[in-house]
Amino acid sequence: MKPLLEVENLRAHFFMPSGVLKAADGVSFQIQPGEIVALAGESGSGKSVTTQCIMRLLPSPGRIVEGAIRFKGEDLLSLSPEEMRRIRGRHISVVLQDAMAALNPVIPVGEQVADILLAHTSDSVKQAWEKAVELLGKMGIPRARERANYYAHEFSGGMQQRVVISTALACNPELIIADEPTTALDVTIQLQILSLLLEARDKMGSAILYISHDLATAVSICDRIMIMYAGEIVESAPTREILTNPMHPYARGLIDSIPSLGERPMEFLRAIPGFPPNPMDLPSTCRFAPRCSYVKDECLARGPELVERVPGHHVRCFLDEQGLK
Amino acid sequence: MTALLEVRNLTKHFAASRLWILRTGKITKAVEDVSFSVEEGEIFGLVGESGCGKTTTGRLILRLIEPTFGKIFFEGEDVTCLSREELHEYRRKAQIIFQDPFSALNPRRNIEDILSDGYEVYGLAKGQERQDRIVALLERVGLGADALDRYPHQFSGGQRQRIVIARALTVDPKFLVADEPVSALDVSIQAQVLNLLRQLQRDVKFTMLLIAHDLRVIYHMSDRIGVMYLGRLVELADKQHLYSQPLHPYTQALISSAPPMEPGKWIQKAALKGEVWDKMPPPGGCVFYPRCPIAVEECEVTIPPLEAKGENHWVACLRA
Repeated sequence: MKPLLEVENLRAHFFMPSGVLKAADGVSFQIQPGEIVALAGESGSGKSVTTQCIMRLLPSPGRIVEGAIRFKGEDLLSLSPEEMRRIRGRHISVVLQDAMAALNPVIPVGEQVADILLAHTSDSVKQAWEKAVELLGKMGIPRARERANYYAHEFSGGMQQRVVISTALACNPELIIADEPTTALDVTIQLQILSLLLEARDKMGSAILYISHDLATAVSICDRIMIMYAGEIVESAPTREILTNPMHPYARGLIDSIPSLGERPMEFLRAIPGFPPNPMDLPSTCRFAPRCSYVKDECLARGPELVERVPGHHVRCFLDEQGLK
Repeated sequence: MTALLEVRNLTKHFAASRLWILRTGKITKAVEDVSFSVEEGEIFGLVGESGCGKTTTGRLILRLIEPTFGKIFFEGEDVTCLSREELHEYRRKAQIIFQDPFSALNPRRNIEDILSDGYEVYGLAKGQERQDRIVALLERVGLGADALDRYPHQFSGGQRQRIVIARALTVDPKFLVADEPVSALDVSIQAQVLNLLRQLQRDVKFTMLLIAHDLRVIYHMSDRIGVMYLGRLVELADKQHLYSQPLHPYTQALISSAPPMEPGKWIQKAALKGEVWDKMPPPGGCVFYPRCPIAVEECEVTIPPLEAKGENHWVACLRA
C-alpha cells in the first residue's frame, strides 16, 4: 500500500536570539490510508511542531531546515501558499485543543462550517448551509438547525469541540490531525468526542494522526503509537506490541509511570528520574542517556538511529532486546 | 482511628455576579450540603469534573473562603468561628499545595525567602537554624542547598512543585490540602511528585485531602474516595469498594470514562450522554437527574440523602 503521508528526516528549528531551539530533529514516519496513529510525548517533545510543519503553519522564528513531507506522493514543502490552501481543510484538516480559540467568536458556527464547503466545493450558499446543519446534527449537536445560528460562546466546551470537528470533517479529508482534542474537556466528554473521530475513520476512511501526552487515550483508540522525546521519535510500534514489549527505556518508563486502576496499587510508581534536556542545548549523544538506568558507554559516545527491530517496530536505542528485561 | 477533620453540611453559594443578583437573585451553588470526615493519617481523595465544587471544598476547609452554611471541625474544634489568633494557629496545622506551580511562587523572591515565610510568621526558627532546616527540607523534596539563592523561573514545573510542597511543610502541618498537585505536570514528572508525596506522608505522617479530576491519580494515592457532582457529594467509600462496586450511576460513568491501558476496550463502553451544564438539575431534585440513565420520576422531586450502604460505603441515590 502506498503511504498517505510520509515525513522524512524532518528538522524544524526555531532561531531565537539566545540560540537555536531544535524542536523537531530528524523526525521520520509514515501513515497509511485509514490508519489511526498516535504521536505521544511530553510537552516540548516536538509533537505539535511536527504537525505544524505538515500543515505548513510553523510560526516564526521557526523554520524547516531539512526534510521532506509527502502527501499522496506530492511534496507539501514545495507547494505554493495558494496550492497549500487548497490542501488544508479539503485533504488534511486539524482539530486543536482549544476549541474556543479555533472558532471565530463573531460568526455563527453554522456559517463557519459552511465556509469550508464554500471554499473547497462548488456548493451554493444554500447547499453549503444545509450540509453544515446536517453535519452539526450528525456530530451530536441537538436542535442543529436552530443552533447553527448560535455563536461559539453560547456552547459548552464539548459542544464547541463538536463544531470544530464538524468543520474538520466537512470535506471528507483523507487525513485528520487531532492535536490534544480532548485535553481541555471533562473525562466523561472525552470518550464522546473521540468516538466522533473514530466514526469518521470507519465511515469515510480518513486516517487520523492523534497527538497527545495521554498514553491511556492513545492506547484506547490508536492502531499504532509513536513516542517522541526531545525532538526525536524514540519508538514506534503497533499499540499492543508497544504495550507488551516496549523496547526503548523511555517508552517503558512512560507506560510504567501511569498509575494502574482496579488492581491493588503499588505503593510507589516506577517514575523516570530527572527531567527532559533543554531543547536549546541538546547533547550529540543519546538524548535520554542522563535519565536512563540502562546507560552504557556507547550511549554517551554517539546518538542511536531509529532502526526496525522486528517488522513494524522501530526503536532508537543501543540496547538489544535482552537489555531491557 | 479518630477523625482529624470533620465537615458537616458544608455549603457555599456564590452570587453569579453583582448585577445578576440584583436582577434575579440567582446564585451558583458551588458546594451544597457536603459532609465527610478525614481520619488521622489517611489520604482522602476528592474526585469530580471541573465545576463540581472539589476545589471550593478544599478552600472552605482552610477558610481561604467563608462557608455560607455548615461546620468544619478540626481536632474537635469548630474552625468556622475562630478568632483571628486562633485562625492564625489553625493555618499552621493545615496547609495547602496549589495546582499551578508557576503562579504559586512569587517570581521576585528567591527560594530561601519563599521558604522562610513560615518560620518568620510563626517565629519557629531564626538565623543559622532556620537555614539548616530549609536546606534539610529542600533535600527531603529532592532539591539541594544550591537552590537557596535561585529564583522560581530557574526551575522546571516539577521542581517548582517540589518547592511548593516544601513551603507547605515548613511549619510541620498535621493536615495538607493538595489541590490537583500534579495536573499541570508532564506524565513522567507526575509519577515523581506522587512518589514524593507518598514518601513524605510516610515520613512526616501528615493527613491529606487530595483533590484531583484524574481517577488514576486519586485511586493510586487515596485510602478513601469521595465523588462530587455539581456541588454535592454523591458517593463515599474506601477505594477498593468504590472501584469494584460503584453504586452511584455517576461514579459508574466516571470509572468507565477512564481509558484502560488496553487497546479497544474503552470505546466499546457506552459513554454517558450529555454534559454537566447542558441542563440544570431540577430544584429540589437529584443533581444527576438530567444525565442519569436509571432515573425515575421520584428523582426529579427528591434530593437523595447520603446513606450508608454496607460498611464504609455511603451513596446519595434513590436507586442504589
